[in-house]
Amino acid sequence: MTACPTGIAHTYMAAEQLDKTARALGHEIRVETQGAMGIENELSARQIADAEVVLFAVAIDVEGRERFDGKRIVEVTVQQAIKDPKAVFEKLGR
Amino acid sequence: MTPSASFDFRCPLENGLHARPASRLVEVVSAFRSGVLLTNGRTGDEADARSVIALVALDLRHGDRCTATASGPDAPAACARLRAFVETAWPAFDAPLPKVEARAGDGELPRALRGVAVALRRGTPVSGGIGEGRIVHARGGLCDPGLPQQAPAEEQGKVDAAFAAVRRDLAATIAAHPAATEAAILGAHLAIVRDESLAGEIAALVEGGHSAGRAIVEVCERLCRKLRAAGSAGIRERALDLEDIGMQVLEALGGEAPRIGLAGPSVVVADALTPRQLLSLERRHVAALAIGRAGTTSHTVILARSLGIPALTGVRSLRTLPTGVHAIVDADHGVLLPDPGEAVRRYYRRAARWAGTAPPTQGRLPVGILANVSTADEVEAATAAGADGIGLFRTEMLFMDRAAPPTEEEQHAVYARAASDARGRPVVIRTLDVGGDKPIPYLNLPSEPNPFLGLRGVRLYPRLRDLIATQLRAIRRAAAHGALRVLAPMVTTVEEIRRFKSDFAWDGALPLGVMIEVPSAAFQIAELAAEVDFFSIGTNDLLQYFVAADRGNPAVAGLYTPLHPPFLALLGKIVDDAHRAHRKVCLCGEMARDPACLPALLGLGLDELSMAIPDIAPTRAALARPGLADPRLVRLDSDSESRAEVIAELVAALRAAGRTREPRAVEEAIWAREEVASTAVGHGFAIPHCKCDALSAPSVGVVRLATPVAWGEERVRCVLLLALRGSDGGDGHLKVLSRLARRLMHEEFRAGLLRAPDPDATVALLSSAIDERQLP
Repeated sequence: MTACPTGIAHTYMAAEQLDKTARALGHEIRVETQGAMGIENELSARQIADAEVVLFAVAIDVEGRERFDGKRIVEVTVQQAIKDPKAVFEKLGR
Repeated sequence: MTPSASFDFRCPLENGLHARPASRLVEVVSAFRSGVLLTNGRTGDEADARSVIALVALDLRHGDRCTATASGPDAPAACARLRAFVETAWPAFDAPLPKVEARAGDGELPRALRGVAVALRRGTPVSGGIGEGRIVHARGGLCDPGLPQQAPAEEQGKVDAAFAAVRRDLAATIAAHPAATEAAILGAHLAIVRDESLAGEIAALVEGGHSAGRAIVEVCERLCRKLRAAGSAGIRERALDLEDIGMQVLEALGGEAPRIGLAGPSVVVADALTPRQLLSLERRHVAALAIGRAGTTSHTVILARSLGIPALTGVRSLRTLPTGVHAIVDADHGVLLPDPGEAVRRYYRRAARWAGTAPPTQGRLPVGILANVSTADEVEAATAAGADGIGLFRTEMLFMDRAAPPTEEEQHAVYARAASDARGRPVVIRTLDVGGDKPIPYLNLPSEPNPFLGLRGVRLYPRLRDLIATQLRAIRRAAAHGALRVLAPMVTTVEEIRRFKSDFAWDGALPLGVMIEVPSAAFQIAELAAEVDFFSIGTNDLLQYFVAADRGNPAVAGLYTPLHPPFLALLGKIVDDAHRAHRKVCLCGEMARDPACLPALLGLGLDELSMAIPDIAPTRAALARPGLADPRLVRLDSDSESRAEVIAELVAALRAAGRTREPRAVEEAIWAREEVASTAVGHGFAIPHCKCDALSAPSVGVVRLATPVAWGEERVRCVLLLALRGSDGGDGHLKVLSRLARRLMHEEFRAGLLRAPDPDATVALLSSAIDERQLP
């Protein structure tokens, strides 16, 4: 999930980087964005249940955090997701 | 023996005895025949309580012991009355004057200059923009006009006439500015002019062989010296008031004020400046205005705005600025910078490069955009700004600030120039619209308890028949030079316009319209349409009369809301009835410039909107639904050296393209985001962004840097500004911007931006990335 303070740019750049990098690394990924347009690509209960790990690249309080209770959660900053997405995925693997 | 009486008191005035409480005290004392002396127990000085100047010079401070002594036939009564006044009512006249409401952050330097040491004067920005030039004082100070001297009796006659003229002017100005602040200040001025000790000292010098001019100069200078020596800063400042009055009297004595010659770009400074004085200056050299007093100069302010001259009011101690010093006026930030250093000059040189570089938005709009003007000088500026014509030429200014009405020839010259400068576009000239609130002494208008509901507009025309006939002759003749139309103000009944046509032998050669500003006229559109060719709605007055709420009164401001459904229904009825009779309707008034009202006005089917010149470009830009990306918002070889300079450059571009009228609000919104976290996103790119309602359209701006600049922790070569309005949420622009943000994560897109040979190529690249066809 990505979310930034104004929700105009960084939310989507982070989403794009994570999506692009994950595919390049051979992972399967779904990115929910919570920006100025509201919640997009909202993750379904099924997708959450199937996920191995949940990645939060958020700078604000997001909606529906309780959906991920019990999952393995890794938090990074929005900036990290944008600038060095590879490092983010390395962190996931550990 | 003359009866006398006295009493002691302590000065109850927190701010000491200054001009306003002094003038009230003089009023109380003047009701009695006895003379009254005030003695300051601290200094032992005495003052005649009939003289404001003497009272102020007494330097009475809060808590000072003071003795009042009355002597004369009614001394005990005078003393009792004075005592009651001093102890109860007096302190109320000491209340500080309300401050001019300044916007948050006014008088703050631009971001890029914070941290640079500069001397600055703050002022209230009343006409935006930046001007640079040498300081020129618009008034010369106390100076004997050196007129030929006659016998003392004649000289005294000149003094009396000059004082009477200034008294009349002040009284008329007070009547026109009922707001408490100005009336109180001017009332204090009036008290100075009426001051008997001032008149007495001048008369003594004239009697002794001084010329009128020399006597006035000497006495004023002597009293100013005395005031300047006083303890409190407030009283020292009164010396400026006295000096100002002295200059006004000298001007009245010498007839025409001397013309001020400007040798090059000038920052014109003056405590007060009349519209006439402003127009007498050589326009191309007036880089900016800095005016000491607001309020009394509101017409000047309107004119400055219209002519695009940056202006500040409420600037303190202007007289201490040395003539000839280089200065910059930043009327976006509300600062005057005398003798700026190189860093400051560099910043403003760069800002100036953007100003006026963008042509007005072209293309057909759903509604005609016209200009409101008050002088022929503005017509050229209006067409340059993109006006489709002049929707309202107010003629009052032609008749103000003078001793006799303008002649037919004089008016003809003005209207003919307006007609020809409009180059074929229509010019609607409103015939003289005055009432008891607009001071034109030679008209001898009756003073009325409620001038807004009294004789004004066409209601006065039967009394001003010759004057209006002359004006209409001048307009008819000037119509040979262009498309002139005539608009009659404040029409309430059909009979009034019928009488207008018969009184002035209207032959129908020019189109005639009526101003709809009285609610009852709105219900007679069909009948009025049988008499006239077009309608113009004056929403400022119409709304004020419709909801019975003074638009200048904050206590009822909540009622004065143009988007109130009953008012929109009224406007809709006017437009529908007029269209049914095949008549066009123009709307002039503050409502026309308000972006929030635009959709409603378009929906109501108005044919034209008329507004002040600075509002034209932003309104055109808003109506044209301009694309997000625009070559006017792209700069590919910027020499900016810092994040602050880049942001200032982007904001200047938005302003030049007519996409904002409040550049500072946009700049602050961008910085608010930068302060949360830097918007540098790696790869040498930054994407500052904001949501700000000071924008007229969502916009994308690009600055590509010749040399990378520091942006937070990174260095960037290319900056994309994403600027949205708060209200843009629902209409797809956000989606477009989020797509642009995603595209920036792709190497080939970034490379394309860095390689683009010109702004059009940049715009093409941006447009393909965001695909505006996806907008609803």
